[in-house]
Amino acid sequence: MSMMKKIRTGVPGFDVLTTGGLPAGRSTLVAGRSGTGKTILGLQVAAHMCRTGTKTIVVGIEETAEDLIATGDTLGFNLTGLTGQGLLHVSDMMRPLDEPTIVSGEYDIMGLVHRLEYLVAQTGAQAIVLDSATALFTPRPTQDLLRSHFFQLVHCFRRLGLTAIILAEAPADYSQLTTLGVEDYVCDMVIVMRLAVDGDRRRRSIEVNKYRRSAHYKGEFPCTITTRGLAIFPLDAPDRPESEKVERYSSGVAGLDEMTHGGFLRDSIMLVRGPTGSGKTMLAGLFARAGALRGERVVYYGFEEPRPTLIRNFDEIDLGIAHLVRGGDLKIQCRYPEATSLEDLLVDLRLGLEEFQPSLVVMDSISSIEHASSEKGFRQFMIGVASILRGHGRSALLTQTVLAGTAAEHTAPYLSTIADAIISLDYSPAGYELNRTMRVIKMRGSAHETHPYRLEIGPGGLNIERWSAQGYGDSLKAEDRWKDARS
Amino acid sequence: MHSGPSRRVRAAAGAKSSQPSKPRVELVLYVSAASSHTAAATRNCEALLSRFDQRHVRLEICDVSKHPDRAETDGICFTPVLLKTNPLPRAYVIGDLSNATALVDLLASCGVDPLR
Repeated sequence: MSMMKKIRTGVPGFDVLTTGGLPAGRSTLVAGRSGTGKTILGLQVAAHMCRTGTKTIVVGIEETAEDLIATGDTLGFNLTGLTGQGLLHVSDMMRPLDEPTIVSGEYDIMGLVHRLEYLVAQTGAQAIVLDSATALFTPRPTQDLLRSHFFQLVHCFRRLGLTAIILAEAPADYSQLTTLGVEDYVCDMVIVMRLAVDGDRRRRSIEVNKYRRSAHYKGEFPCTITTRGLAIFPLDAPDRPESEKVERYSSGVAGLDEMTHGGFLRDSIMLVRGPTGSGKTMLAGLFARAGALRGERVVYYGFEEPRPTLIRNFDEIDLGIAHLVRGGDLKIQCRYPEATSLEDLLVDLRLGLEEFQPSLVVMDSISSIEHASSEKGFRQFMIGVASILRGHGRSALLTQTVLAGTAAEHTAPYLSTIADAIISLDYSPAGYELNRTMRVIKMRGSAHETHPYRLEIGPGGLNIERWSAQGYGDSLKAEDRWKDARS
Repeated sequence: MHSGPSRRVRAAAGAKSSQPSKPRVELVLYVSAASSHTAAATRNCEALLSRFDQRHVRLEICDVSKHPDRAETDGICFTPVLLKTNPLPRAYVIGDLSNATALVDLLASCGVDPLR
C-alpha cells in the first residue's frame, strides 16, 4: 500500500488527508457544486506541481485561459510567472458559445485526445487539470456514450502518463456524486467538496470519498478559501517530536499550580468548564497575564465582550493588562462569532500562530461559538482548532459555559479527547453566599489533586484554598469562612 | 416573402465579383484516423453532398491526428465534427451525420438547396 507513488499537492491539510497526495500517473476526480472551490483546488495543485518540478497543463472548458490565470494570480499562485517559465500551460478548449452546435449521430472524443497528445509532446507535461468534465461533455451524450467517452479520456491520460485532476459538477451537496454520474468508476481517487447550508451559515468541507489502494482519512473535514487559496483542517496534525523533559509553567493562579502539582504542562490544551459567573474569564485573563508577564507571547480570543470592556474589567480588579497589550506580548482579539464564519476563525487562528508566534492561546469562550453554529459545525471547528494548536505545538486554555452544578459532569466525547486537562469551576448557594469550587477533573501526564478546592473571587484575582471534606455543603461554616476571609 | 428576390440579388452580385468561382459554403469535416466513426462520417457526408451543386459547396476533410494544431484553432474536442467556416456565423455539426437532416438544413440556411 505504501509503495504507491504519490504527488504532493501543497494544499494545506490535503496531503495529510490523502496520506501523501495525488496518485501519480492516475486520475483524481474532484466533485462538487458550483462555488465549492473546485477550480481553486485545481489551480492551486497545478501551481504547486509546477513549482516542484512536475510540468502541468490546465485545460479550461468553461473559462478562457486568461480568466483562469487571473483567478490563480489573485490567490498568489503566480500562474503568469509559471507560464512564462514554461512550467505551466493553460489552454482553453472552449467551443465558442455563440456559435450553434447540432448533434447528428455518433461521435467520440478523439479530437481532444489528439490535441492532448500534441500538447504533451510540445510541453513535456506530466500532469493535467481538466476544468471540467461536465462542461466538456456538453451537449450531453446518452449515458452509454458518456461512459465510453469518459473512459476514453481517462485512458488517454493514463497512456500519456499524466497525473490528472478532473473536476466535475455535483447536483447537490449530498446526492449522487456528479451530474454526469459516470466519472467515479474509472478514477483512482474521488474528492467531494461541499458548501453546505448549516442553519444560517455556510460550512465548507472536503471529503476523500475513495482512494484506490491507499489509506486515507474518512469523513468530512472543514476547509476554507482564503486569500491564499484552499486550506483544509485535518483531525490529526503531524506528530511532533516528543520533548524529553516535561516542562511546566504557572497557570497564573498560585492555588491552581498547587492543585496540579506544579502548574500546567507545555503543549497541552486546557478546558475550563463552568457556569456563568464562576470565574472562567478571570482565570483565562490571569493565565494570559501571567504568560505575558513572563515574557511569553499570548493571544487572547474573546468572544463574549468587546475588547475595551475586557481590558477595563481587569484594570478594575487591579490586574491591569493594558500595558501588556501595549507592550506587544499580549494580543487581544474580540469578535462576535455570529459575525464571522467558523472557517474564517480557523484561518485567523492559523495565520495568527504563524505570524505572531504565540506560545499561549486563550479562547473565551468556545460556548459562544457552539451557540452560533450547529452541532456538526461546532465539532468540525473544535477539531480544526485542536489540529492547528497541536500542529504548532502550542498551549491553550479554552473556556466553556455549562449549567451550574454540572461543570464536573460528562463532557462531549470529542471535547474530552481534545482536552489534555479539564478544570471545572462551579458554585452552589450557601445561605446568602455562594460556595465556589474549583476542581481538576483530569490532567494527562501529571498527578493532581482530585478533590474540590474552595474558590474566592475578589481583588487580586482568584483565591484558592484547600477545603476540608467536612466543610463541604455546610452553609454556616462556609459563611464563617467567607467572613474570616474578608476580615 | 422577400427571401427569394434577395437571394437572387446576392447570387448576381457574387457573379460580378472578382472571384466568381468561390463556393457559397465552405465545410471542414474533422475526423480521426483512430476513430471508429470516421468511415461512416466520410461516407455519409460525401453521399449527402453529391446531391448538391459542387460549385456551391466545398468540403475539406481534416485528420486531427495529423493536424492537432488545426483542431486547436477551431476548438475541436469531438470527432467527427463538421464545421461550417463560411458563411459566418460558423456552425458545428457533431456526429457521423447518420441523420441527414442536420446538414441539409444547415446548407438550406446558407441558401443552397439540393439539385433536382
